[in-house]
Amino acid sequence: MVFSATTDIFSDAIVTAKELNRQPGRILDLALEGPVTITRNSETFALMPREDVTSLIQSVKVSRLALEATTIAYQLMRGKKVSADHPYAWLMDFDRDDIEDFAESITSTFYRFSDSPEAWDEVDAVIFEWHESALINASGVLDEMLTQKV
Amino acid sequence: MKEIPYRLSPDGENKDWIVVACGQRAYKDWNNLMTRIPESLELCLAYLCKQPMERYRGKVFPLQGPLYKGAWEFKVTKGDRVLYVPNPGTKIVSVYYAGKHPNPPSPRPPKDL
Repeated sequence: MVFSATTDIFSDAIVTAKELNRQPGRILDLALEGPVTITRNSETFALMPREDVTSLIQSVKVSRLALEATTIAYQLMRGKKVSADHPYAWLMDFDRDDIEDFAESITSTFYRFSDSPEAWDEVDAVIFEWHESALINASGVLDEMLTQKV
Repeated sequence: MKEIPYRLSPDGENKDWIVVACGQRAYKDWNNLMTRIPESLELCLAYLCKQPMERYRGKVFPLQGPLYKGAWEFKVTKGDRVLYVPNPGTKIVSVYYAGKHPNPPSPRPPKDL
């Protein structure tokens, strides 16, 4: 049986749905080596190991999370405001240098863990820790600490 | 031996750090929390005695921003927090807050309004 050649566009093996029906085991083995594109009329489908799909989805999710947080941070650093009910409105409690530290922290964490399955948790933890700090800052529960420092 | 007021970590044990409540109010709050969630707070105390300056992702971390520089948060449960300042020079952990998550009472408007 002859499989279609890989293309420069997807670097995938390309098989038809009919070929998949005839030799599913062989094509699943092929999918273990790299993504397989299955064609049916004008439609195309991707076949790859489930863990690869999970990894891709996680990469997209963490990229979105990091991009969203850093975009807001850079907007605030340029003097733009966000509405009070914006999910990142708490960032406005920090000054410009702090927000820059926040953005740097997100970026460095994203790159440090970009190949790790824990990337999302790590970036999310950085955001959580800054958010918690903003809430505590606003609550004033540590004012006693400031009094004693003086 | 000089008695340490509001001491939270047990006496006589060879712990790395001594944990104290910073004032009567923090001491009372700690004990109230101990009554409510003893197991979780014992774990917190054990952590503070051993490695109060070791970050644990999303649970133990230094507060950000210049205002409370040096202060750390321990997320005891989903809704309870311990806030403390570790002093590496004296190896004393001062607990300033122990209780419910200190959420602001309502959404805050932008500062320039």
